[in-house]
Amino acid sequence: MSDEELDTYLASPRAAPLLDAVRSVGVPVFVGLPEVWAAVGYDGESLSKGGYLHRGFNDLTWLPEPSSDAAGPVP
Amino acid sequence: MSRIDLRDDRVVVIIGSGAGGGTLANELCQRGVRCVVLEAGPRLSFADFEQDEFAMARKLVPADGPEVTSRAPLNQSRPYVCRAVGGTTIHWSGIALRLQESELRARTTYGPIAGANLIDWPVSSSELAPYYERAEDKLGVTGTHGIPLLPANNNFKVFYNGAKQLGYRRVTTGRLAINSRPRDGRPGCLQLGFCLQGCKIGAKWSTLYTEIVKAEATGRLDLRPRCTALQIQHDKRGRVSGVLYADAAGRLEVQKAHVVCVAANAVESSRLLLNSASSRYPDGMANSSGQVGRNYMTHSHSFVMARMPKPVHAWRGTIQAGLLEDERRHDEARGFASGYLLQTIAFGLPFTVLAMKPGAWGKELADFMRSYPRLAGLVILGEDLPQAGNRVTLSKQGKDRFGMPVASIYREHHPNDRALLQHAIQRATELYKGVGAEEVHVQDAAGSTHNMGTNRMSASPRDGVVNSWGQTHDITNLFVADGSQFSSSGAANPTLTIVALAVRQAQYIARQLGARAL
Repeated sequence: MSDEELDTYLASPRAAPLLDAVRSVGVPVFVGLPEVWAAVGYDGESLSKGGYLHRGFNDLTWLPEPSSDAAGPVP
Repeated sequence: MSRIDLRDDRVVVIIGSGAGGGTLANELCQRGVRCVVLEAGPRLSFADFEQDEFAMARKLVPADGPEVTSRAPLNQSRPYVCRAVGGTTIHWSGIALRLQESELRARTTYGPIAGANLIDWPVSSSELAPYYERAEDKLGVTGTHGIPLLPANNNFKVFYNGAKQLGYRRVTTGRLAINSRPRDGRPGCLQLGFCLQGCKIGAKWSTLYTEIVKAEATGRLDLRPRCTALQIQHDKRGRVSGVLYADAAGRLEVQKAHVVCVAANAVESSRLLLNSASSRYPDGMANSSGQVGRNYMTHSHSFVMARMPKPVHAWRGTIQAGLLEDERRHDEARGFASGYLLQTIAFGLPFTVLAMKPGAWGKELADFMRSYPRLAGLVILGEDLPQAGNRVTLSKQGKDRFGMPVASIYREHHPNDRALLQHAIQRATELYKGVGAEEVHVQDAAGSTHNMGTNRMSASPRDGVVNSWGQTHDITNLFVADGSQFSSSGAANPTLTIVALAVRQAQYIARQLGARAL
């Protein structure tokens, strides 16, 4: 199959079941890769670094702070 | 830990060790009652918990679970039920809310609704209040017993500001069975994230390291992990006499029993009763009403996530510390019965993609993943009306590894659930748009991990399976101690109610045993 034929095939409805199968297996693997996490900025496990209590769980400053009756103190 | 003889017929046998079974075992042991707990899953330790969503799903959720079918397309996979000591209290997010009087009186409050099989609970909020009180103390629920609320994390800050500009008033970090400071031998929350994968430090309550351990300390508990209950047996008089189970090596054993309590999570509990059919009980055990398996409820449940203009890093911290209660009320002006909660939620990247963008591909997937650090998220949790046709039956083909039929779940949405979710999605979208959301993603009617009904509580033996004590209407020494007892779902996460009912049931069983009435 030439590249053109391959492109035509992949764009056709006949390829849908194949692509669905690739997606259903491939996407869960892809989103579980540490390399992908690093590229997106997702941290993965946090225990070895002591969690986020002292590492920015509440560092959002572009909105007002909730009132003191809505949330407890930072321990 | 004590070892109880298989032929000892003076014991209480409890099937399941989660919120219902684990609590019931401890409460009975504390009252001097010896218990055998049969738990199908293994006993995990903190070291077994992994901060990895896929790895923990593989460890906790059985592969030979129920089948799910529907006439209409249903955005729901298999129920997420944990098979391990501690059950689904390993996975739960810790939200601990009481049912309201209006929800317990569902039929009276909402009136007749076509297609809904509504009844009132045979127990009132004032009867439940002391048990809720006890349950909140046991779990260490924030906002009760002088326990501070958890601090505001970034996801909550977006949620809170969005809610306030809509005029909502009841917005807090919520009632959580997660220590905001050390309590009951457990540490305070370190904002680890990964609450759903088993709390690595035990700041979140689970029966695994609270109730079960306390019960063992009495010397009256014989906990048997990797022991799968297959059938409940009865004697010639029709009274329950023991439980047939497969042990860790796959050997079949029978544990004799004076009382049996089923607490295997709603779907598995009704399956066990159906699998216990005999010549005396041809339609399954405790099923003279035909209600076993019926009125299966989850919750009306949709995820709403918003791409904000700046980073949120919602996964950093307690994953569900945000609660909006203003819409939890029955108000016919909104066009549906009952109400809903909005609760913040954040998953890791893998679950976020799979929950919000199943089937996405190419640019759509890439754009969504790139936006992940800027996502704020919530889940809608609304009442799900009971319907007789939403039910658990025994699969005709599927069998577990012991040859017992697996559960087959049939479920479809009631029009009320659709109207409720439509309203809630609209409000949630406005909430985020009001604080600058650039794009709002909705995953509508996503399956929740709550399983309720299928052995419901009723005043009349015609309408349900158990009475207000969780005792089956048909067989005095057979009880149900999990969410399958729920007469209706309310708009509250079920665990606190399961715990409160287990405390109440333990008190009842101990008294009845003392009076030789069981």
